[in-house]
Amino acid sequence: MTDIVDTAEVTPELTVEEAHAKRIMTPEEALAASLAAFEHRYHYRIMIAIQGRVRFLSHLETVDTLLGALRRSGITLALSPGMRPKPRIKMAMPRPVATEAWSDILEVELTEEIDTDQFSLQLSEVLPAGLVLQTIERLDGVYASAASRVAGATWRWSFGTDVAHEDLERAVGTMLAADEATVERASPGKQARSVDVRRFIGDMTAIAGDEGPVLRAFVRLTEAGSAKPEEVVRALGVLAGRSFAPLRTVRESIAIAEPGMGGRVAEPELVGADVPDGPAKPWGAC
Amino acid sequence: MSSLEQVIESILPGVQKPSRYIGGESNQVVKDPETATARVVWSYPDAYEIGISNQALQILYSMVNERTGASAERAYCPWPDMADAMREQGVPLFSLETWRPVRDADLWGITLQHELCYTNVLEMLDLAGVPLHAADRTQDDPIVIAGGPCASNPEPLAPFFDCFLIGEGEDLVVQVVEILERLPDRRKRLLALSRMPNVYVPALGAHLVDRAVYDSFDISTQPTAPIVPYASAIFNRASVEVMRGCTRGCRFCHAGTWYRPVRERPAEKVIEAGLAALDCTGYDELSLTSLATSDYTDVEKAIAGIKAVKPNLHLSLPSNRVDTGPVALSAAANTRQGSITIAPEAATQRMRDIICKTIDDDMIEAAIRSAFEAGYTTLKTYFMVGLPRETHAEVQGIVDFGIRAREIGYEVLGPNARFTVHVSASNFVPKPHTPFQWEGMAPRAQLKLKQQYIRRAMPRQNIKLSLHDPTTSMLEGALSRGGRHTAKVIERAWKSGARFDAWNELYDERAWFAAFEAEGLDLDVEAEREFLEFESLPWDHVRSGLSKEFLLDELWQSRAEAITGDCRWDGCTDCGACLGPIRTRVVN
Repeated sequence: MTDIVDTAEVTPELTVEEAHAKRIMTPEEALAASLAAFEHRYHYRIMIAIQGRVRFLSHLETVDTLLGALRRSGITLALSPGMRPKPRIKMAMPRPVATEAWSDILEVELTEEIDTDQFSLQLSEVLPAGLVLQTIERLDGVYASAASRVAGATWRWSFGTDVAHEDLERAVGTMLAADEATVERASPGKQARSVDVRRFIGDMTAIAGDEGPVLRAFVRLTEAGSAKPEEVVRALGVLAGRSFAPLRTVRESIAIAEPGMGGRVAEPELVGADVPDGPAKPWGAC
Repeated sequence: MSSLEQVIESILPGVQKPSRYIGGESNQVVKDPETATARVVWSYPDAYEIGISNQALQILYSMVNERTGASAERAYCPWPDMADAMREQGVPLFSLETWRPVRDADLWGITLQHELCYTNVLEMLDLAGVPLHAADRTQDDPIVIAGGPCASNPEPLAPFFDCFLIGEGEDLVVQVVEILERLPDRRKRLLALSRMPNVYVPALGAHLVDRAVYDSFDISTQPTAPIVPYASAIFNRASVEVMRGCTRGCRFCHAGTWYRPVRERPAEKVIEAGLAALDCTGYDELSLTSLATSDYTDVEKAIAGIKAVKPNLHLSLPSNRVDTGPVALSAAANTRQGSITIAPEAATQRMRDIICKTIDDDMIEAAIRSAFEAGYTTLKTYFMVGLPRETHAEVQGIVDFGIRAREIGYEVLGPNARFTVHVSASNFVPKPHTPFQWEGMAPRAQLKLKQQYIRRAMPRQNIKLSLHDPTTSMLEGALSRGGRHTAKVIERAWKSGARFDAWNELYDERAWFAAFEAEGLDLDVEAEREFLEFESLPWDHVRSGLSKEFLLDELWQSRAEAITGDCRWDGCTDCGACLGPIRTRVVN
């Protein structure tokens, strides 16, 4: 009686015997089966920096490379049920090709509990160059994937000395004051459409630097979509009447709406905040 | 970061699949250029996802890195968008490991796996900044060497290579590296290479050269740390070569004659190599490869040994014989049963006798039945059209086969069951060193008509039909048996824009027709040409080990519609491959 979990047909009038006769579970049995299924599942959140040449991997290639490393590390990944079981692994928010990430989120489900330090040691030894392990955290309680709760990301663009800090600052001011900033989005095989970048931008700031100015912005991910990092820079250029070509694009962090906040996230305030100069130290670094 | 690296990084965001060019995969080896005794670059003249899946190149890569002080690196043919960007920015072809120019290597080895990548060889030479013609190269250029099955007829590419390694490369590459380490001068290196019995140096004329046979196959362990490609590769699985060579004697098959004699790896070594490869790659699938894995004597022992350690592993056995035994083996090896492939090659008994495919209708039907009974819901079958002495009965036979396979599916799985019979038909292309090397291809129009008939007559329900385009097959036929004059055609076609000819979307038929015409040749005439039996062949100076008398005898046998037994079971056929210390493993 555990092969069918659909309780939709169970009505208050249906007795346990009648339910069994119809080969369906009672709600209590369904709950017990569901709890049993997750009794030996352990969720872990892995923070990874993606730097160097591996930034040219696509999202799918990144996930596949990480999956290979997880398998080589010797841990046992939980598998999905069905004829073709797939490992339970989720990476939040696909990263555009050629952009770096300082703190991307990978979540995995294991069939056995493992000490996070041991897990970190095993994984860090087999990660390819450029994929840098930062932390591994055990997720307790009811699990809701980070991938389903992404609220946005803090992006960072570095420019060369050909871009004056004042010009960038002025463009940022224009962007923040604007009601809308529209750019065209062209997708292969689809008709180009207009995207209002402004509605997706939270805070935005320009910072002076010795090697050129740096732009930081929080870009929201909403039900209506989001703006791509290159669209943000393009929109800035449209408003400023010139083009900006970043030398480097980095996703500093991904914001996750934590449970209990009604699905909302406290957006980071970037103006005046401490500016990180790189990803957090890799796991095991002194 | 060097300025070259900066330029490469600046062009990568603008090209398709930049991961093709970045290297850094797991198990990649990067040696210190200061301490490496020589620099070798291995290339597959096609896109990364095709080249990285080539097992032979992976073996040679680890051979050089593990057994010599030289560094082995890799380079594949950049996709046209990348090639254009490289030319525009002045970026030479670079290796994935170090992003250093390929032209700075001591040795550049290019594997020739099929004829439709010949223009890519020229594309890569040009991108690297290495002169196209060996005669124009100087002390600063690498020695450009070719290998692989297409080196069995080196003449169409002879002007572009300094030398060809004929046969199996495992031992040869170590000897070649020793020469590089010992002699710094390019001319002296070439001279030393020309003294090796398995190296063909075109500059010395069509001198006799013997095929190398790897005599330690049965006692060696396969390299166990293959490079793990990024997701776009066509094969994402670990593999162990369990057996080399095949003596079934199919008369069209180049591999069947080129890799004789049959050598097997002991089950213990297969199990050891397979498990080690899985551990260091992270793959969840292992393939036991050979030309006919079900003929491998220890196949059951190897499967049992691997399954004992990894019971849920997906173990695939490609290239199976049409028989119920192999089907049952495949079913036992796979935990995720989906599809199974059988290759009858011809649909009538007459044609199977002509090509020496020693199976009959009952065996095929039994194999199909047992495949469906074992739970497979997709049956893939392979045939050829345009075989010598083909009649309409053979073409009709392919249609009848599809219908009969479907009937068996209904009988076993029920009338409403969901299953698919894939019927694929490619075009016969004669290859050098096979009994059919003297035969011509069927005319293009005839191939098209036959395909048209199959397409119209084959029912659609539960049957999926795929037919190989005759256009590229004709080119393959014209190049595979070409002589040195073909080199000019290849160069002209490449100059007119031909590259990635195996990719339908990039194949430029007009460039090829024009190139043949400009050299006073006709593509179709070259492909359809029948050689006289005692005529000198362009590849006669390459000795495969099989005697010409044996091949001729097989040709005549085919004309008499008679089969020849497999020497592993039915006694020696005196082909000549076992002359020497290495002999086919005979099954009692």
